[in-house]
This record gives sequence, C-alpha cells and structure tokens, in this order.
Amino acid sequence: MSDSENDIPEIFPASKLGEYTVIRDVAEGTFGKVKMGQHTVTGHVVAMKYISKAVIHREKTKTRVRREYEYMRTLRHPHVIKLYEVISTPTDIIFVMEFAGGELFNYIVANGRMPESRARKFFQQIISGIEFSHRLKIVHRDLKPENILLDDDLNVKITDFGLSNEMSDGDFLATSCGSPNYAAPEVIRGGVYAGPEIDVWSAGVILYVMLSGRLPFEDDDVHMLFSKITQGSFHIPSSFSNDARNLISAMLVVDPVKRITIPEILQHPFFTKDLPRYLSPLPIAPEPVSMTALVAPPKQLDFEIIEGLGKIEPEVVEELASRLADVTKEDIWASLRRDDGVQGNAVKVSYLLLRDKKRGSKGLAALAEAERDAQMAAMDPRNAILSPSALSPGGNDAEDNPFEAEFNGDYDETDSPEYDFMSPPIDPDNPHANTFAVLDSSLPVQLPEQHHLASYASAKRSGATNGKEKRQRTKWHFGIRSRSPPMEVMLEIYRTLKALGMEWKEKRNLGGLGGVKARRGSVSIERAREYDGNGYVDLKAASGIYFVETRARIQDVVVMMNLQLYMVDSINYLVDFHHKKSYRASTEPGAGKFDMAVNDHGGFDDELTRKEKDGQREDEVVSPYVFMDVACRLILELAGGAE
Amino acid sequence: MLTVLDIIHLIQYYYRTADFEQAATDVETFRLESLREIERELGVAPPPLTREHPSSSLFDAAKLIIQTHARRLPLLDNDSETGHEVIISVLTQYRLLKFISINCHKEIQQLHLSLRRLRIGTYVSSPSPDPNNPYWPIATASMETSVFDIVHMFSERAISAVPIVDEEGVVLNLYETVDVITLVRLGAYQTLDLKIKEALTQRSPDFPGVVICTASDSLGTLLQLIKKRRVHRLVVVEGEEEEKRGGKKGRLVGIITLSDVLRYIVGHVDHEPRPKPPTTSADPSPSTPAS
Repeated sequence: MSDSENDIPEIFPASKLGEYTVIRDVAEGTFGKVKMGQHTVTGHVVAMKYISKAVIHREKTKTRVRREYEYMRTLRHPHVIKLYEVISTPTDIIFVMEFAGGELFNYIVANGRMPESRARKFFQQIISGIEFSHRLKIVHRDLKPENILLDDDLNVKITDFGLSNEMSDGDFLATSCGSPNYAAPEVIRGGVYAGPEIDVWSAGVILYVMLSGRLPFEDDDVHMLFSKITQGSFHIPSSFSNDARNLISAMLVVDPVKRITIPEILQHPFFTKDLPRYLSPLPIAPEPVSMTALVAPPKQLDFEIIEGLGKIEPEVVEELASRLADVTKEDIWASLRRDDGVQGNAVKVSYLLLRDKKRGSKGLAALAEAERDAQMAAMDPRNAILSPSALSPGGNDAEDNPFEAEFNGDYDETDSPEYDFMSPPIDPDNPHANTFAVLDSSLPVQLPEQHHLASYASAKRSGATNGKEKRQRTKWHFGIRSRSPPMEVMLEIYRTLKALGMEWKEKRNLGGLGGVKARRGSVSIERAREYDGNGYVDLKAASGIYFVETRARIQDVVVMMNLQLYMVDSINYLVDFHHKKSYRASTEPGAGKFDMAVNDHGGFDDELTRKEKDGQREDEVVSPYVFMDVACRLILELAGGAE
Repeated sequence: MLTVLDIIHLIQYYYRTADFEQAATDVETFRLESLREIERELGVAPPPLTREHPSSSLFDAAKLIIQTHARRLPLLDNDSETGHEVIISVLTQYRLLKFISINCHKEIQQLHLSLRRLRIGTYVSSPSPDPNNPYWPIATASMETSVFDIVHMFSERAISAVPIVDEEGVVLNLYETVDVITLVRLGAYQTLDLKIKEALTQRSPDFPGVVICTASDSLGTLLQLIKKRRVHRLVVVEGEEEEKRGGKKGRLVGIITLSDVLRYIVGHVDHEPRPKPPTTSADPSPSTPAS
C-alpha cells in the first residue's frame, strides 16, 4: 500500500464516520468501476465497487446485485473478500469492500510454477474459503486465478462468489468469453445442476496450474478443449508428489458423483500437511449439555463477541473513540452492541475498518487463530449463559435488505442512525443481571449431514441459498387457462355467467364480424360462417368478441368486472378477470337489482334485517373481497363445466 | 378468525365423538363454519371475535386484547366502495410489546423489579391444593405423555403450551399448540397418539428453542429480550438462588406469557381488580415500575 500508515492525528466529528475519499480507479467491470478509496476517519484503504442504478434498472439485474450483496454479507472468512457496507447514492450502489491488490493470476504469470509448499498454502486457503461458503450453501461457480486475489502478505482473498450461476443450457459459450479452462465438464455440457462439485473441479485445475505453471486442459480450438475436458484427459507431470498427483486425480474426475468432496479434501494428506491451526475446522456443535450446566454460574469471559464483528478488541474501540470528537468509548461500545439489522451502523463499519487497518501489519494467521479461540470459548455452553444481547435474533422478522429498501422505499422499524450515540449500553456494569437462556434440551437434534449432493439438491429445491433467504416471488396469473378453441371458451364463459345469474353487456358493434351490421336495438349477433371473409371487418372492434363486461349482485354488493380472453401462446388461452368497480346496491323495497344505494347509512342493524329478508341464500358466506369471491365462483364453475 | 385453538378444539371433538374412519373422511370435507357448533358441543368458549379500527389508539387496542384474552386483533376498516368490512392488518401481542420495547427503551431500563415480585406470569403454588398435580395451577406433561392427552389439556383449559418435565420437575421442553399444527400439516393427524418424545422430533430443524428465565429476572430485561427475539412465552425455572435454598436448578417454577406481560404494562382494565401489592418479597430493589 502506498498510503502512509500513522499520520492521522486529526479528530473528526462523528458525522464523518461514513465518509470515504476515492483515490483512483482500479478496474472496470460490467456494472461499473471498482475504485480504491480511503475511509476518512480510520484511514483504512478499501475497494469500492460502483454499480450504476441505471444499469441495474435497464438490465433488470436487481436480483443479481442483491444476490451478490447477500453472498458477500454472509461470507465472513479470512480468505474471502469482506463487505464492509453498502452505500446508496442517487446514481449508484457502492459496495465498500476489503482491498486486496494482487491476483493469483498475475502471481503465477510473474513467478511461473511454484514449489509445493507455496502451492499448498494457497490451496489450503482457497479450500477453507470454499468449504466455508459451501456450508452456507453458496457455490462459487467461477473459480479461477483471476477471482483469487492476494493481499500484501500473499493471503488468498476469494471474490465474485456465485455470480455466474445464471448459466444454463448453451449459455456457456456465449458468456464465458473463451476461458472455460477451469470449468467442470458438467458445466460445459450445460447441465442444469451445478452444485459444490463444480468448485472442486475448478480448485483442482487451479492446484494443477500452481504446481506446473500450465493448464491441464488446453487447446486453441474450443471444441477440442471441450472434448478434452469432458473426457477428463490430462497429463500429470512427473514432478508432482504422490499426494498432489493423487489429490488432483481425485478432483478432476469427470463424473461429479465420483469426484472427491470438500470434506474429503479436508482429510487428504496433501491438504492436512502443515495446515495452520486456524484453518482446521471448528467442531460442528457444542457437546450436549444438561440443564444443570445451563443454569450454572456464568463464567465471565474477558471479551465480548458481537455477531458480525467477532471478538471485540478494546484497543480498537479506544482508538476509534479518540479519533472522534465528543464520543466516548462507552458510546462506541453501545453502538457496537446495538442490533441494527444486517446493515449495521456507521460505528460498526468504522470499527471493522479500523480493526482491519491495525491488523494489516500483523500476521493474518495469528489473528485468525485468536478469533477462532474466542469462538471456541464462546461456544462452550458452560460460558454461554446468554444475555439478551447475545441471543441471536431468532425470528428475524425485521430482516432489512438495503435493496428492498432502496427499490421499494419501505423502511422497517429500525431506529434512525442519529440515535447511535444516545442509547446506553445494556447493563454495562452487571452482565450477570439476568438468566434468560435458551433451553438446550429443547433445541432440535442436529441430524448428520446428508451427502453433499442430496443436501444441495434440497437446498436448490427450496429455492434458497441459505435458510433465511426469502423465497423468490411467484408470478401469479389470476384467471384461468384453457387449451380449447377461443370461441368455445367464450361460449363456455357465457354459459357460466348465465348459470351463476350474472348479467353481461350486449355487444352492439363487432365491426361487421360475421357480416352482420350493427343494428340499433338488435338483440343478438347470429353466427353466420358463410359470410366470414367477405366484406370489411373492423378488426379492432371485432376483437371485442373476446371481451365481456359483466356484473353480479352478491347480497348487497354489485361487482362489475371485465373478462378478457388472451392468447398466451399458440395453444394456450387465458381468461383474465378485471375488477372494474364494486358498489353497494339499494336494499329499498322495489328497487332494481342493480340500483345503487342512495343514502348509505347502513349499519349493523340494517345488515341483520337484510339477512332475515334474504332468505334464499342464507348459507352464503361472502368475504370482504367480493370481487375475489365472484371471480372464484366463475373459475370453479368454468373449471367444473370443462370436465 | 381461525386460530390454532380452533384446530385443537376440532381434534378434541373428533377424538371424543367419532371413530377414526369417520373422522378421517369428515375432516377432508369439513366446512369452517361448522366450527362454532363444535365449540358449543364441547362447551368451550368461542374464540373472541374482536376488532379495532386502524386509527384507534394503541392503548385501546391493548385494552381490548387484555379484556378478551385474544392473542391477535384484526384491524378492520370499511371498504369505501361496498361498505363491507375489510381486514387491513392484524395486531399481535408480540408486535405490540415489541413496539413498546423499541420506542420506550429509556423507560424500560428503569424496570428493575423481578417478574415474580411483579406477579407477572403463573406460578406453581406451594403446597399444591391438587394432590394429582404438584405443579398446580400449571398443566405439565412428561416425555411419555401422548399428544392426544396434551391436545385435551390445550382444549379444556384453553392454554397454548404445556411444559414437559422429568420426574424431578426439571423442565425438558415445552409443547405448544403450533407443534400440533405441525403434526397435522405433515398429515400426521392420524398419529396423534405419538408420545411427546417422538412428536418433538417432528419440529422444524430451525426451531429456535424454548426460552427460560428465573423468577428474579427483571421485567426490563424481558422487554429487551422481546425486542431482540420473537418469543411468545417463557418458562420460569429455579436457578442458582433457589438451589442454595434447597431447590433444584431447572425445576419448573412458572410460565410467563405475553398476555401476562401486556396485562401488567397496560394496567388492569375495567372489571379486572388490581392485585394486592406483594407483602413478602426478598427483592430489595427500591425503584418502582412505570405503568
């Protein structure tokens, strides 16, 4: 990094907390630029990815951007690029991310093949990042040395998770710009299914490249390349050690079911050799505990873990406070402890930025290890008498998503950021003050992990990348589909309307359709097939034959609706229901069926007397949504009539 | 409004009156409007049919919820076109309390008095006036109890949860009316003779767990918990202090529902008499709660 490290003697007002200065452009992507920026208060250098809102709207990529955000927010791992915050400007969405200046790609280009120990170090870091993302049901799908960034200490930082998963049949050639060298055979074949095994394949290719300095599958002709990949034919140089040879052969197996899995790689001797302690997997769940352990006196941990921030470092809190005017450590602690939903608050973001800046010089491994120890200690149920602040927000009912807020404009009930320095911390003096806890014996027993394919398939089926993510919105047609010829459908509609006692508006002008001129007072249009095709037909008016204006009275409400038959495709038609208006009908004796109530003073008493009078359909239950009721009756009758 | 309790009543009704085949065929064609008859037949109170206008005050809504013991209150307005009633939204006890806990966070921090001392919740009375139930007035069950038996408790006593305890009274779990619905939804209404032990395995793997506390926890922290976590009831168990006095950690002491909390916070409305202030209490805290 070129920025000077220790030259920030200034004190800033708290209002500067969210401020960044752009230093220079780093790259240009599909959506916009990536710039290098510096956070004003902490001086930490970040990458800022600008995504133009105009482009999001134009390309309809809101879902994709949201997914990128969801993935980055979820993936907190020492070897995955971290998202600090998302800023929304009138023109852009800006992802403020961890900055890593190097690329594994450039490193290989510059240094050629590397010794096994170096390759192993990269490989361990890549696999640990991938393993972590797979546990969260996120598949990278496009692992290649260009997506593996390196920080100044040559630590791997994986980026661009899950961005290429819109690929399906045939798309691959079009989207991959001729660099399919890292893609698994099933991806190239355009299979619909793309699970974690495709990342295993790509990681295998990367390992091969690191050890040999060249690609396992290479050919100038794309079709030849594809056939090499799909046949899985590659040569392993004799310089590879037995472990490397064995692991690569297992990773580059064409049949995804037979390919080695990530959990198996974690056990492989090539991977486990010289594995830094912080990368060895955490135990899955705490030992089962009895109630007795839960109500035992809490052993006070001398640190605090806050969700999303990890173990809080008091020095960082202190330094952050010292950089801000009129802000005390206690204020910072209070803001860190606040649960502001997924967006966090400016103090949390600044804390992370300052912590990472301070960490910059220290070794990542040592820090990650300390973090891991803290997690382990916190997982020990004997230490885990939970304070309300430590209880995970269970219901998640106020899950904020900046994109929802951004595009839909409905903000949830989160407090305004101005409150940040006002809310006192939860019981700072007496963390023992309460004994609220989750009863361990009531938690569901964790079933053993399914085979990765099965669990992935089920995750895909439920349409979620992780348990909490919202399901994709279903598209609804309100109406009824039919494959019958359109005129038959229309006939059926009129029959149904008649059966239900509904009325419809007579068609006075069909533009000369059927050769019958519209006559004043005519009652019906005779179908006259022999005249079709002769003479002038006003097609616009004629299309009115597929349009019905109808009304029905249900108790004291008149519903007016329009029915329109649409052609969906060459064989399917859709009857669409459109609610035009509803009004309250007159209940005066002698009033016409569709007369509007004149003076509406209808109250409960009226309703009672009316119900007594309307003896004929006493059992009829009408919802407040009368139009829906009528439409449903129509649909039922239409569907029933077709049987 | 159709609630979980209606389904519970229905199960109870079929269990009493019909054999399995008849019930199974009946259930598929059952019309909701017949529920009221079933309630009459079972002699249980029909669920309160309450409503509030969306522009009424939160206080009025809270009073109504307390008076009727309803857990949720539909907000009804009249459709301007038809004059018919339309449900605009539904206010729940949880939402109401969460609103209070979010917007009155300063006041909440002053609520230091313990839940027991404030008499929030139902507590096991000692000695028990009922020789058959040492936890009177709280209904409990064991891991071996059948789901049917618990359904009867739900239906007869109009309660929504039963603590599951071991022989020593240590709370192991809490079986709730929603758990029955889960069984029914899985098509398992044919197998309600499952033991609780087995029925609990049907819970969703996302089940967040039962929340417990001790009687000395304060109302303030409970409200902070409500702000954080969707919780509908808490089981009060014996903790450290009780054990020092010869009790047993984890043993059932009481149960606190959101209605208990709401009733305390909003105050007692209309015909409900104010409870006498507690005369014996070990809680030395001098502050008084705002109500």
